[in-house]
This record gives sequence, structure tokens and C-alpha cells, in this order.
Amino acid sequence: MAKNQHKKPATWRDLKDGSTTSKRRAPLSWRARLRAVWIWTKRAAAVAAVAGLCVGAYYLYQNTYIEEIFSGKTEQIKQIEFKTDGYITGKWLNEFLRIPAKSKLSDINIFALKQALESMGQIKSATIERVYPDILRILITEHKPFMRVAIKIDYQVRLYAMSPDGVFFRPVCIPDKTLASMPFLEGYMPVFEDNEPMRYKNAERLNEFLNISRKALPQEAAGWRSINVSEIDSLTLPLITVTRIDGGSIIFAPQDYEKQLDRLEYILRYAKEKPLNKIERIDLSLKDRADVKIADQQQK
Amino acid sequence: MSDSKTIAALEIGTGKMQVFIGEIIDGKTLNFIGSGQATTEGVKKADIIDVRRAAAQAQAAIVMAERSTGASIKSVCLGISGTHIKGFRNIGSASVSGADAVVREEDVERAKDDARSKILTEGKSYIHRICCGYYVDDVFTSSPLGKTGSRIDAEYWMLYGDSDKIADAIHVVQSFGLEVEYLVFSALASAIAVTNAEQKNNGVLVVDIGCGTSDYVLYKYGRPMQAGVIPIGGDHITNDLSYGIRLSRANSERIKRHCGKATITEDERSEKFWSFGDKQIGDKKISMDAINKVIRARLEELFLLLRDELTDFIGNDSIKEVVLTGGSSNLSGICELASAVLGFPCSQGKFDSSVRPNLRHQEFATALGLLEYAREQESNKQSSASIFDTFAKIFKR
Repeated sequence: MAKNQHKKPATWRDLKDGSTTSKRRAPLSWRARLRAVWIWTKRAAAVAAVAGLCVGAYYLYQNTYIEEIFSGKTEQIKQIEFKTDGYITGKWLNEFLRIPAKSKLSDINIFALKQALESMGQIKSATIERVYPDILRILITEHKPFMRVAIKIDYQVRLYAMSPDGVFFRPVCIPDKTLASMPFLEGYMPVFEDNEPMRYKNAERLNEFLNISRKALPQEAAGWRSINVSEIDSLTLPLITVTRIDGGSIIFAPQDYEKQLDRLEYILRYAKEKPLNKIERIDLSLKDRADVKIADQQQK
Repeated sequence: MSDSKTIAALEIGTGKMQVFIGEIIDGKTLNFIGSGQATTEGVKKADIIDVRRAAAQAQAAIVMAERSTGASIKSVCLGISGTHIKGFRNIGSASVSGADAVVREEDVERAKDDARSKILTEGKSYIHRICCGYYVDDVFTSSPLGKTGSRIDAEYWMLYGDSDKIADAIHVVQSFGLEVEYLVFSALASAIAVTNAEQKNNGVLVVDIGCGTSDYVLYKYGRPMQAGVIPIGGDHITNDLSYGIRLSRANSERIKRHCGKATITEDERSEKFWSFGDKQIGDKKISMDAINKVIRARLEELFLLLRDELTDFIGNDSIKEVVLTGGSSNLSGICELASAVLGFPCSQGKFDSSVRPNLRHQEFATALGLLEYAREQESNKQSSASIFDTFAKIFKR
């Protein structure tokens, strides 16, 4: 007995739980096979049921019915709390949403409201909350316009505003004065998708250019009527052409704006100190110099 | 909140596969809820020789039991027997560690560990390691705690069997997607069903005479002292009859069941009866004496072998009575014969009054005992369950 010895006394439980357990669980009869199939079917059904419950719970959570279930009694909406970081007014919102009078808070489909608001180009995102028992809270984040563009669609000219991230939208509640202070975007024909113009990729660069210009020469920049971007992506000589309110144009290279604005400031100061004829064109895009074209005497 | 567990008792016998399903409530109450039975195939002398055929029959019995109850079982208390099962006595020792020489829990545990740690040869596995009692300085005691002495010995009866044979029995159950929760030597289970605490305390030898083997267990001081298997069962008597009176096995079995007697009176000795009873060609008159001689010879052999196995306990007042159970114990006059050979009063097993009358048959003793064994184990588990186990159970529900 001493020769072939185990390290521990072997018991029947070692055989039951031992390394060859899987072999010992192999079905030995058709009944066992049938039972194995039945057991696995039951397990799969249980997993499916659990998954179904999870999906259901997620759906309820997404639709906030859970909130309604646990929130208890709801009442008629007494107040709509509205907050925006842009121009949209409460009056416009009321007209747009047209929430029926005496609506109960629980009757409001906040997802439909959110969807409707976010379908408005000017609205970047909307958050709708039910504040039980009787307050509907609407929080709006808007796209901030910095340029405008007139687009001809079906023989009609429509005015769009453009945000620094390139989104075009029909301006709502933005005062005319504010819109009038924005230069027009020229030389770019927006691509339309589902009747809406697609984002403009160079908007950010233009916003940067305008911000730097307004900082360096606020008076001059305020008098800019339009910015032509037809040459901005040119491989040989990229240019931004600004048209002033007096009809004159300033040509910028789309880089190193500070240097070009310095030159422009010098030219404008010089022109002011030593009255010249009307400046017809200033070309700041040249490397070491700036070209200034002055109108003829007759044109003056 | 009551804790209910459904468990099946499976006895893989030489003659039949017996399944009983019981519901254990709070580890205290056992409700019998159904049964299933199938004839055995692939088993010889209680050893599984063809695991596939044995599994098919055992699984048929399980399915029958499940259908009869509508219960779905997950765990099984499996009864095991077979000629491969052997036993030996082992004593583990430990010195009493306390300065006051009082035996403490840790001393007892050390002695028990020493006794239990006996290593078997390759291919053998323990089925039970039964503590028979203790000796404090060579004086027997069943409860050594608090006794004074310098050494404590723990006496164990180690019951083991062939790992492959045990694994086959486990495979039969596990291949059906069920867990073997308890593996119990059949005679131990039978003894649980047919003896009471007083009998076990006084000393009782329980012999389960089955189809292929006879299993025995000896109880004294309420603990099993020795257990084993004698490879003689009812089938041997049938075979002997078949050879002796030249009849088919089926007819021999019928005659054994209806006319077989282990002891007969002088008047019965001259009795004769027809082998088939239809008095047609082949039917012949057989004397009761001839049948008795065949049956008696085989049973005497069985009881003599049993006496040889128990030499340590015979003649020292350890055994007060013999209880016979198992299907073959229904043979008329068997108790008188056993009593004559073994020299102790002998009777058939008596079931507890809580057992339903329709289940009080000697052939059901093992399956009933298996259920009761499972209940006892569940009760022990519950009493030792920690707060964590309680929580684990709640989540398991």
C-alpha cells in the first residue's frame, strides 16, 4: 500500500468534483441528451427573459415613464421655465411649441418637444425637464451667428446666419441691428441636404480672422460689408477679400493676420493724415509689401 | 420563510433501479412525494458493468419519478453497493495537550484527523469514514470531551471502494444533469430506515439481503462499528434452485417467491407441489424438502460468511439482535435460520410509524433510508449554517 500513495486520502467527492468531471457529465442516453437540451433551452429562455427585462427597463428609463410612475400625482402646467444663452424669446417659444392650455405635466411628450426644438437650425440643443408637480423647464443652447449669407433658392433670396462651427440657420428673434452688423459671406455656394445648407468647413477660420480684425481695428472691421472666400482654398494663392462699406476692397492672405492688420492700420492712418483719393484696393497678401490702389481723380 | 428542498434517493440495485423523491422542509420534515422504478440492466452483483445501459435504466426511473410528482430534481442521494466495497478499522492517536490532562476539542480533532488521514492505494476512494468511538487511555468512551487521560485514540471504520466503480455510479447521475449530493453505502441507508436509536445503541446488526449482494452494518453505542458486503444475494438462491430442480430462472424465481422457505417444519418436509401448476407436459411435482435444502444451503453460507466477518463482535455482548431487510429478507423462515446460525435474536426490519403503509416494504428500505440520510445531513447543515450561508440561500432562491 505504501508504494502508490496519493498525497491526500481520496474520497468519492474527489471523483465527483475532479478533473475529469466534464467527461462524467457527458450524456449516456437519449434521455440524458434530451434533458441536456431542455436544460439549455430553459437557461437560454431565462437569459432571454432577463435581457428582455433589461431592454424594457432601459426603454422605460429612456421614456421617463419610470419618473412618472414614481413621481406620484401630476397637475396642470402652471409655469414654463425657459432659459437660453442666445436670442430666442419666450414669446416665440410659446408660439412655436403651442402647448395646449390646461395640459397636465404628465401629458407633455418631452421627447417630441425636444425633437421639434432641435429641428430648428438656430437651436443647438434643448433640454426639457418636468419639475413635478406643475413646472415645465426648457433649457436651450443656441448657435451664435457671426456672419450672414444670402442664398437664392427657387428664385427667392433667403437670409441665413452662420455660426463659428459652420452651421447655417434661418435667424429667429435676432435683432435686425445685430444682423446688419454682420458681414455677408460671399463666394461660397452652400451644398444643400434635405433642404438645409450643410456646414461650411472654413467658418472657424473666418471667425478667427474676424475676431483678430475686430480686436486690432474695431472701427475698420465694423465697416466691412462682405467677405469673399472664393479664393480661400486656392492652392496657389489663397486669399480672403473683404469689401468695405465704401466699396473698396482689402485682400488678405488667410494666415499671419496680425502682420497684415499692422500694415493695414499704417495705410489707413497714412491715408487719414495725408488725404488721398478714395482707396480702391489694398492688397495685404504680398509677402514683404502691401499694394494700395487709389481711385482716379474723376472717380473721387 | 420555510426552506424546502427536493431531493431524489437513487438505489442502483442488481434487480431494480429505485427512485424516491422527497421534500425536505427546514431540514426537519421529510415528505415523500413520489417514486419511480425500472428494471436494472448493466449491473452485476451491484457493480456497474455497462455504464450506458445502467444509466439508461436509472434515468428512466428518475424520469418516471419526476413525472409522478411533477417535481424537478437537481440533486440526488445515491446509494452504492457492490463487491468492490471493502472496509478496515483504523485508529488515530493524539496526546492530550492540556496541562490538566483534560481531553479538549482540539485533542479529539487531532486524533480524528490522524485516523482519517490513512491513505489508500491508487484506484481506491473512501465512501465513508465512520467514527466508531474513542479510547481515553485505552478505556472506550463515546464522548471523550472532559475526560482525563494522557492519550486519546479515535477509532474509525473506513469504507472504501474502487474509484472507477464509484465514478461510474456518479457518472450515471451526473450525465443526467443532476448533482450527487450524498453517496451512501446501501446498508447504512437501510439501517437508518429499519432500526431505531435504542436498537442502534444496544447493538444491532442490519443485513440488507438484496438481489446480487448482501450488505451489512453493525451499530453499537448509536454508531456504525463495521460495515461491508457479502457477495451473496437472492439471485444466487434463484440460480441454485434453477440448477437444483432443473427449472428456468423465471420459474425458479417464481417458486422461490411463492413457495420458498428457509426453515420448514417436519410436516412441510413431505409436501409436494406442481412446478408450473397447469399439469401440462413439463409440469412436475417438486418436494418442499428439496427446495428448502437448496435455499437453506445458500443462506447458511451467507450467514456463516457474515459471522466470519464479525468475529470481533461475536461473544462479547456487542450484538443484541439481527435485523434483516432487503427484498430477499421476505423469504419465509429466514429470520429463524439467521438466528440459528448467528446466535442472536433476529427479526425483519420495522419501519417508523411516520412511513406510509404502502411504502413499508423491505425492498424499499434502502431508498427510504437514503431520503432520511439526506434529511439528517440537511438538518446538520442548517444547524451549522452561518449568517453568510443564510444570505447566500436568500440569493439562491
